Amino acid sequence: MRERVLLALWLAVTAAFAVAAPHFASLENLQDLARASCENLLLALGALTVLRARAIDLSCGATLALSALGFGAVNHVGLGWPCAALAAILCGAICGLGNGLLVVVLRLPPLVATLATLATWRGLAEGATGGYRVFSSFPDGVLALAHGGALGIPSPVFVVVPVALLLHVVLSRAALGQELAAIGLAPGAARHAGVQVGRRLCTAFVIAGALAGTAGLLQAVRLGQAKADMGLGAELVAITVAVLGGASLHGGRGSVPGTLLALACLATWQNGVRLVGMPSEVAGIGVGTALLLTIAIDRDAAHTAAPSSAGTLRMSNRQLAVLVLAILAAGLLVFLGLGRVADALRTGSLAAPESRPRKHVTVAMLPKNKSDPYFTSCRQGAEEAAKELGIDLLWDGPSDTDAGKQNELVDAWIARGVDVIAASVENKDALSTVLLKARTKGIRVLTWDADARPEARDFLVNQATAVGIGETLADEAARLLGETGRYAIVTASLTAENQNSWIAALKARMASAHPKCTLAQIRPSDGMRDKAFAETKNILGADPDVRVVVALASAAVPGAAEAVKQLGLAGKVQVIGLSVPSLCRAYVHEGVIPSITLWNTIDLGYLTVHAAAQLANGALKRGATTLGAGRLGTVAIDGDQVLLGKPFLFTKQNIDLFGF
Amino acid sequence: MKMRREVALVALVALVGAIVACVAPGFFAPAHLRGLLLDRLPILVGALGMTCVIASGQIDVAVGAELALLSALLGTLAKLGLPFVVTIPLTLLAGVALGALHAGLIAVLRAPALLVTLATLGIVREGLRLHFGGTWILDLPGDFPWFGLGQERGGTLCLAAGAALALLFAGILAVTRTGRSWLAVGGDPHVAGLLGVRVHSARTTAFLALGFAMGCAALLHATRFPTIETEVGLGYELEVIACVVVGGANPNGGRASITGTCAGWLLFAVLGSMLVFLHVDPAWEKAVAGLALVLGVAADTLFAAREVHRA
Repeated sequence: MRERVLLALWLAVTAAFAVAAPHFASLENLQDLARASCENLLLALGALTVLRARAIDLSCGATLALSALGFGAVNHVGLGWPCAALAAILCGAICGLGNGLLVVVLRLPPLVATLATLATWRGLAEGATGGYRVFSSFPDGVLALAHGGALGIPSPVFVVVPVALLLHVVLSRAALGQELAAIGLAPGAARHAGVQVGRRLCTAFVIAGALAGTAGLLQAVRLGQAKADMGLGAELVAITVAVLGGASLHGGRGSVPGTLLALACLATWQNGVRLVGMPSEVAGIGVGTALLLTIAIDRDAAHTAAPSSAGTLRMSNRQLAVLVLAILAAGLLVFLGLGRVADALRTGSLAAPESRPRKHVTVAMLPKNKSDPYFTSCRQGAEEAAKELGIDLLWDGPSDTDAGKQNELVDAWIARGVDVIAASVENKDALSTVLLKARTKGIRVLTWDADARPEARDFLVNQATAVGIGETLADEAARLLGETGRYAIVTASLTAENQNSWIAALKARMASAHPKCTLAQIRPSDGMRDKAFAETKNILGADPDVRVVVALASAAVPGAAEAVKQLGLAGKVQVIGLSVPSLCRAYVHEGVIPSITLWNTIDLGYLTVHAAAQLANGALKRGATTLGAGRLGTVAIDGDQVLLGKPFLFTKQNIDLFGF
Repeated sequence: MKMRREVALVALVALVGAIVACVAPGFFAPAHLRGLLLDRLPILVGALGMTCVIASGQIDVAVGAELALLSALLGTLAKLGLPFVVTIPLTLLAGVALGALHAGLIAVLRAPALLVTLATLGIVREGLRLHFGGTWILDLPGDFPWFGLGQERGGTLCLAAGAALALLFAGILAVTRTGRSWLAVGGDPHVAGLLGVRVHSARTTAFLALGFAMGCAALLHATRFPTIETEVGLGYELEVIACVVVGGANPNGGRASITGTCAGWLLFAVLGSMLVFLHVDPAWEKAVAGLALVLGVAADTLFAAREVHRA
């Protein structure tokens, strides 16, 4: 029943987007969609397996990361990729076994056990890599295999389909599947009927772990790297898909085809929303609403029909009719609504959408994290330039720093056929592969803020070099310390590449020019004000002789400054770093922050869009030495880098002149 | 007998504290301890409410999003120039309304709380992102931080409020009919129903209590800063739930205590800050915290098993 509903829903969504988004139905987009969905499918199948036995696995995202690192590490040692692939799957299975043992032997509730292992596995992954170490340079053969395919079908599908088929047979036909359902429906009765509850439950966790391990393997080869922060939050997606597909938290229900269709609906919806150019928040809200609706439908189904057998539900004809009508109506609404919205976005007005031909240049801009105030202010400038030049600007990015999500967005833009993609790159190796693909499709590629591999883009809009930033900060810190004393660093996350390169440059400058300044601690803030606040308090408590705190994220500087202020150390401890004037203005005037270093972020967005427009119309070519950029006048180009200018020091004297 | 687990946790905190005292005596500076407790107060207050919900066999994984929503609401209202006499009741009311919404959805849909709150978590977070686009609420009135009382008095007021809330929730859970009904419904809804406990109303009041607690948490959290970060509370739900389950609550309901939750909260508060004082590499921090969680909950099972054997 559920499968049929989902199939209808999927067809409706697909049909709607096929009409509303012109590039949706291309073979290429469907290939990308399939490729990117494989990992989530594996995780969702794992969630389905444990949910059937009335358990839950919150640790699958962390297992994915640990397994990917296992693959990277074994590959790094030089044991060859088949060995590494086995290691990844084995690593996942071991994590699953750990979960199973906690649940079965220690009799922990699965929610608690896997909550604990979620933190533990992720912690191990971070600890083992120091948070920043990235395993990459996988053999070319593997990468080609991962990005290739046969008969127009992407290669990961060849891995996932047999796995899904096997699991389907196991869950629906084999004794294990029936026993898991029995455990889920009535553990006591299952035990009395002779089911070895503990062992079967453990097996379910091992299966889920191995599936997550396989997902880690696939993600590592797809992105070309293995990193400790992969699969963050993937557990929620997996559980959502499994439940949409018919699994119940009360156990005993759910099927592989249902899960597959649910993922198809979800992935199609997210992809379609991207292709029509709506912000990804809309997709997120849609998924939440879909989850609630599914639960509601479940309730109606459960009301009238008792479960006829494990795993299936019956509905009355009337309910079926209502449901089908609702889906058709929803499909129609989506079709009408999105078509209009898409046209409106394309032409800039809701009037007469079909009569206007599309002439505008479309520039897609990708920030690392669109919730970060730094990028929000870049967006202001980008929109200003887009308006001035009359071009269409698409602005979207992850709401956390996730390399995988950046890849998916770029894939969607390639399918949509934008003119220029301008990316601030979170993970070099991961994003470069898709950017290269965009270039082969004739899309011009710019990077801004953080660079990709040079061959993956035409130009870099460079706000300041890592060495420039590191040295400016080091010199400023040393000046405030009077050349002797201790300083501490509050960085963004330990995995952030930009921050790590600044720290390296800062340390190098300190060692060479200011040898008497010593570093007390480096603490992560994850780019959150509250965490920077708490960490700064901890640092100043633990190392009371620290006199300067260098904060390297726009939210971290006001957080650190507030900590200094509340500790009553204003005047004794000073905070400097990279941030946006609006967040720091009050502290600068109070003297807690003597200066913040930054380029004009609005200008960075503005310049990027100008460079993108000229790249699209051919005015900006290799070998150019200058670029006319609207109100910025003429900007210098050095090789393949468009230079914004030197980093700027905002102080008490000048900060009020800047309105961002 | 019943307090064994809390005693064990407090002993663990004391042990951890003793280690720190030897290695880094600066940890026990009164100013640092006070600051530490103040920083972790929103987690405690959220955990108090979560204890009620978990006691009644439910869960709410959307508390982080609720914290962000309520903080943003408080900031928006304050920016309109409304005084605290108006904004405090409105924030608390909004918190209770969120609790009522969850309870209502769960009752109407007859769905597991985990799923319903998973759905609202997504909707609220993405909605906030759509509305604020990641920008903060700046330029709040000058008397916004610390309720306009200044850091010293305001901080003391916050700590007092936290303690009062802990006592209030402990009282409700331990002696009132409502509190006992949460535990009864969490233990076995069917039997509780047969004994005359109104199952739905017990679950609803538990969510209302959590909503009220979240309102308080948002007030205590947001007023520590002169600006409001609209992405606040990422991972807050995990911290809150961890405090409650390490404190000995059964995540399936029926067993929970406020003293246990407070002890669990204290353990995580000390642990998080202590690692900085011990100069532990931040990359290993999550692993240490995860391991502490595993040990904490495993100890629970071992204790429980022994108690069953004796009984």
